[in-house]
Amino acid sequence: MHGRGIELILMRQLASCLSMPILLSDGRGELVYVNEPAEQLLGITVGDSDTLSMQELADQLSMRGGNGAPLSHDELPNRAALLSGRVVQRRVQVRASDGRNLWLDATVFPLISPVGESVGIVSLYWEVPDEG
Amino acid sequence: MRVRLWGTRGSLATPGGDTMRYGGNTSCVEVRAEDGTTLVLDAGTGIYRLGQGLSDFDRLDILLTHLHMDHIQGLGFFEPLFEPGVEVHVWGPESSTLDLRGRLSRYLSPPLFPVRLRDFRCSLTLHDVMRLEGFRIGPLEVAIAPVIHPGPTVGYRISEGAAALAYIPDHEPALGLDRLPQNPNWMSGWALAANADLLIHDAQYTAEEYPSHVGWGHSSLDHVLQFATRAQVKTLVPFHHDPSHTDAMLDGIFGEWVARRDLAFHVVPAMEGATFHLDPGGVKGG
Repeated sequence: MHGRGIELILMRQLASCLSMPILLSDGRGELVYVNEPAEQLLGITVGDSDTLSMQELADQLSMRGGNGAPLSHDELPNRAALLSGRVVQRRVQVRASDGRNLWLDATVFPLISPVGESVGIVSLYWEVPDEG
Repeated sequence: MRVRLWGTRGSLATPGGDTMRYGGNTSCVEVRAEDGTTLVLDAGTGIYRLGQGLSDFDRLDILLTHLHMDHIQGLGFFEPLFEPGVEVHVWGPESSTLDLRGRLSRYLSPPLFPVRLRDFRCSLTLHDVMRLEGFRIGPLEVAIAPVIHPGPTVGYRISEGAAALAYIPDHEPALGLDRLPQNPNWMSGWALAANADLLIHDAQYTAEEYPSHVGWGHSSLDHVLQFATRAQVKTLVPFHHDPSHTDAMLDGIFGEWVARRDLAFHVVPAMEGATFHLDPGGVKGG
């Protein structure tokens, strides 16, 4: 019997209380939680027992760079934060749930446990209204 | 495995005529394996009387859930710590910047306390637990997991054979939520408590009191019921009574629960001095 780590549980509970679109991934980068504002913005859902890989997420969102060019696997914001262990800020273009192209500023940071382990990735997506 | 409650009160010791039955001492629970191996869960003021009654042992293990004062205040008064030749192991959470020794020393040193850790005459070993998933002490298997409470805090699951005790005295699994998560994987403390024979769990607030104490790290009685239901425990022991709750108030609060027949588990409110015997046949006592 293994539940989620306490850092992920607390982050999920915080994200569920906020109006900012937030995605939460586990320590391997698998998407494990999407809060309601993010569901509404991106049209992405993930069940309590489901996960979505970084590539699957990028594919579902048709994620590209801010200039419209495709992103390599290592350029995906989540992947970059996971590899570097640091905050990543990147402008990206995605396909929204209503089919529109959206420009988003992604702020992605790792969750580091008290014993120094990377146990998750938090992704905040800020809509850039005047692009496009 | 035998379990005895030496301290059931939360936050502040509350001796007095109106707390005699449920008890005024803060968190301390004795766990004794069938072969006599003894663990002490938390070192609140209840540990003082426990220490006076212990004899015929050469090793003791004290498992601290966290270092709030109501869980460590009795440590400096625990007689076995002053007995040469006795091996005492203290297990507890380190922080990201201080090990357990450094954190305990903040209390066990002047000006808060005259005696330092180095002054204990026993053979003392301190164990940081945050990197551990578990360990074994004699026949007792101990599992550890961090739980929701301010500061580094863990819960313990102690198993002997098929019998399991879960001890989560300070816990706010519903922090920020209207209800506990449907999926237990997302519920703080679930892995510790799942299918336990005996769950000793924080039940500090009534449903009416909880909204003005959100974030203080404790559960309302409704949350505890939800938690125990999801974890499918056999017996729930509501613990860590609020200092303001007198015996009469606790009778009123818990009376309805104990009488309920729609719950899939027994409810036995924590009372100082209560004992439980866990064996494959179930839980006896209370």
